[in-house]
Amino acid sequence: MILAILLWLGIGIPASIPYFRRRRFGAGLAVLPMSASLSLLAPWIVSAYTGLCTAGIWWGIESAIFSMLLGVVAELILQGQKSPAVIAKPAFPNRQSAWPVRVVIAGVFLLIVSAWNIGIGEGFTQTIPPFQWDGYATWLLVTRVIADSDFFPRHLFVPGSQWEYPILMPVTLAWFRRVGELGIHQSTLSLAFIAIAFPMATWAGLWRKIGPGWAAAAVSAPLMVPRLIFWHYGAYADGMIVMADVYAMMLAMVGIRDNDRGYLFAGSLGLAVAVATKNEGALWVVACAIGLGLYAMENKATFWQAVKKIACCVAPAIVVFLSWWGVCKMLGLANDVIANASVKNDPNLTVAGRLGMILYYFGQSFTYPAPGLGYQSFWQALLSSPIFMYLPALLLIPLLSAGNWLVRLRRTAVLISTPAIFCVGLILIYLITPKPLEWHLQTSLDRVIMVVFAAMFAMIFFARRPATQQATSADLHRREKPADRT
Amino acid sequence: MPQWAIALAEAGLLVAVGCAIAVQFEPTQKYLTDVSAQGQPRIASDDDLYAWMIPYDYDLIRKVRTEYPKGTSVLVDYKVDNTNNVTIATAGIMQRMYLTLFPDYYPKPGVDELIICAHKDVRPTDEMLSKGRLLSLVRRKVAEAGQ
Repeated sequence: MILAILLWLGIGIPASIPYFRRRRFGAGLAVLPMSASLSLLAPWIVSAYTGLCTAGIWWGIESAIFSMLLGVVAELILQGQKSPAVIAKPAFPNRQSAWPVRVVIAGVFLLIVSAWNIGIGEGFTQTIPPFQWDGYATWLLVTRVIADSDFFPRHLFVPGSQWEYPILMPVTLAWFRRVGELGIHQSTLSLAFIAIAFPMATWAGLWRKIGPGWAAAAVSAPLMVPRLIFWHYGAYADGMIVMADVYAMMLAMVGIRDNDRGYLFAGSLGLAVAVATKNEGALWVVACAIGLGLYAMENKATFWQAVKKIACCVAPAIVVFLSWWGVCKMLGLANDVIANASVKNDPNLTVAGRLGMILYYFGQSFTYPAPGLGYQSFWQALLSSPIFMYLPALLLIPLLSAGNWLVRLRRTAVLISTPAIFCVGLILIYLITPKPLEWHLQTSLDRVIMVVFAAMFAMIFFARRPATQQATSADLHRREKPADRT
Repeated sequence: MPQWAIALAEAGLLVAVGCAIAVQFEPTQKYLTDVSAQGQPRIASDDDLYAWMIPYDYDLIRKVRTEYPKGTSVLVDYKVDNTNNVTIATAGIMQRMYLTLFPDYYPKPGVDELIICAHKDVRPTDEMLSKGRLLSLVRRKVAEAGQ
């Protein structure tokens, strides 16, 4: 198991080397798990097109080669960075003496959460939740097929078959299974390491940028969402996609705020992970692109500068999306994006009726802690409710922002624009879904909506700029000019 | 703002976040324990689950595909006993397997359904899940929803 984890992270190292060479360890670590999983996925997509072998050590070799390619891209991007010395400067220079204390507090917190995470994973996987068998067995089925295959398993499909989602999570789990020669219990337990590696790596990238304690709280936001851990250990991909969504957005926002291409690259890898994990990731990428564009313009970028940053940020996600789409087209597979709408349901529901039903379920998702779990006290219910996540965000973001109230409200709107656009997109999707609407809402909304709460909570920590950033943000774009480089 | 206050505020925030994470575990585990106590199926070992998931019962799949025309709806369902406990848990995954592999068969109210039956004495965690123990297909007419 340890070997599988080390090799998983080791595959991502080549993509981080350009960062490490520049002594930018935090940003390099942030890239690591995302590049590792993406690199593991690449051989399977190539295998689907070409039939190339992924047996035995070949999978690892091909993944390492892809990771090196990512490293070359990172190197080119970082070479173009105009002012690394300025960007590498700590965001809180006047509070250096407090760093060790705050880092220790944040580090201890993350270690406790991680240890607990493994304990919970161990407990959950000893007895498999029966009502989750549907998704659990389906994802582990795909995991096993990949783990036991030497090629992309096209022989399993007839034209028109559904391969519902992109396959990053089962590919990652299959790596643990194949390298560690593990059973189902250990494969599922490896979900715990995904839920540790992603937050820890992101924290490493963020703690000097927004403060150690705040970064620890921000990266914990996905783990706070009601039932995220629950679904995650049910082998649903929703936990992984929420982490990828939120961490990608935070890294990209730091990249935009500090005009730092290294962080933009890290964020773009996160968005690619989101798209490769589940189709909802594509909607998030669209929402995030708009939100990041607004954030860039709020940080004094011009419209075209914002467009350029967004284009860089979503490019890997688009490549992954088109690659997967191509696989589905070539093999004649249908997925949710290329919807085979042969089953039309609820013909008697009008658009208004559908909208009413959708909003009813949205209301439930925004208020209920975790239906059916029987919380014993008010505080228990509140702490495990999404209210605990989005209400503080709506209150604290304007309070922590600087400037007059108009500016504060604008900043709040910008920061919550991504989850808001995501919600609107979801409503539109539910309006046109070919599947039975009520069934669709009952079985998917509470999982899909998790990212909204996590993202809103994480935005609290971006409301207030560090002192040095407040002083320099208006000049950030001027740094790129040669005259200012000295 | 003094540095100790900042550190304290951060620590307090982390405690709040930690509490929010922590309170979710206990009720979830309690729920799982309760469900477990109701006699829901448990998985004895990895081998049991693998035997259930892969290999698929290809003989049965072939029979479905050859004996029933394309477009016939399929309800993949196990009838093990009258309690329906096991049926609910296993039908979903089998249905999704079929929909994944054979999208031209789908469940739809109001038309024929094929019910894949196992012997009532077979427990879901052992023999029934292994190849060859899915015994028969039953075809039935299902009423339209709401009728």
